[in-house]
Amino acid sequence: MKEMAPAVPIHLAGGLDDGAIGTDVNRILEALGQVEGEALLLSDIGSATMNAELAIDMYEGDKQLAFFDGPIVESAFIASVSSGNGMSLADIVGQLKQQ
Amino acid sequence: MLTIDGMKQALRDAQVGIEEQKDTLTDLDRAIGDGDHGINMSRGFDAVSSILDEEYDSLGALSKKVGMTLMSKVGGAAGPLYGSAFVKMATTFGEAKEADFTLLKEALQEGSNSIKARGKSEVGQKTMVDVWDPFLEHVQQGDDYQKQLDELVQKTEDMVATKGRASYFGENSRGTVDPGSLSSSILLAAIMKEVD
Repeated sequence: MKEMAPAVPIHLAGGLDDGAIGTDVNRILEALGQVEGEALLLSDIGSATMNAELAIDMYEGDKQLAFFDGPIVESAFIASVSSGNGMSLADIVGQLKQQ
Repeated sequence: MLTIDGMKQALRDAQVGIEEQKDTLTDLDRAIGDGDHGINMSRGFDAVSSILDEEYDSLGALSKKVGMTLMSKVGGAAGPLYGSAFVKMATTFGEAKEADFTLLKEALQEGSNSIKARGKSEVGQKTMVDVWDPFLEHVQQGDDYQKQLDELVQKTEDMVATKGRASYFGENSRGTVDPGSLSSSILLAAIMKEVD
């Protein structure tokens, strides 16, 4: 994704503070706090998806966010390339839903 | 009456109970999941133990802190599920310094609803909902809480999982007790013990 869309910021929020496997809603919120424009949140399965939805519910910032529950690699690829081409968040989500 | 100290005691008891059953929780989860439920719950309740020495003005304040701690420390799906249950319970408790059976049951019911909403799950899917929901629907003050909870946990053995990691096992999930239902029974038994 860095090769295809180098200008698109990607924040990683997986894992726990101590490096263990899993997800921590605070780490996701921290990543959301770094968002400057709009952001699409993606997850793989299980707790990651649940925590992603929880983070969106708990988010108190004013940036436009969307969560898409789909295949993470393909979705991230489509979203980053589309974003790099200037597509809006709403249109990216619409495009992902069509896949 | 469930007091703030009573709730703290319940959480300490739950931590001990989780620790005692840590290997069982992990073995059950290894059979029909990803094998981390014992480790995750142990890590979460260790973190909860460490916040119990602080002072809290209300059951609401304590429950909220417990919820936020579980959310960030558990790691697996149990984190957002138990975490949001406690945060929701905190709203029902509000400023109350103690809760009678009725208020506790109401708070736990809100917690149960939150688990269902967060996990998008219903009764019969072989999850912790199969303990929370029927227990709170039928429980009356003075019942043998432990016995009711044990029976509900046992009932998940014959179910086929249609939610959570175990659902990938399909028909093969039958014959193993759901680990989330067992950890739920440990927590609920510890809390109910303090209300009488």
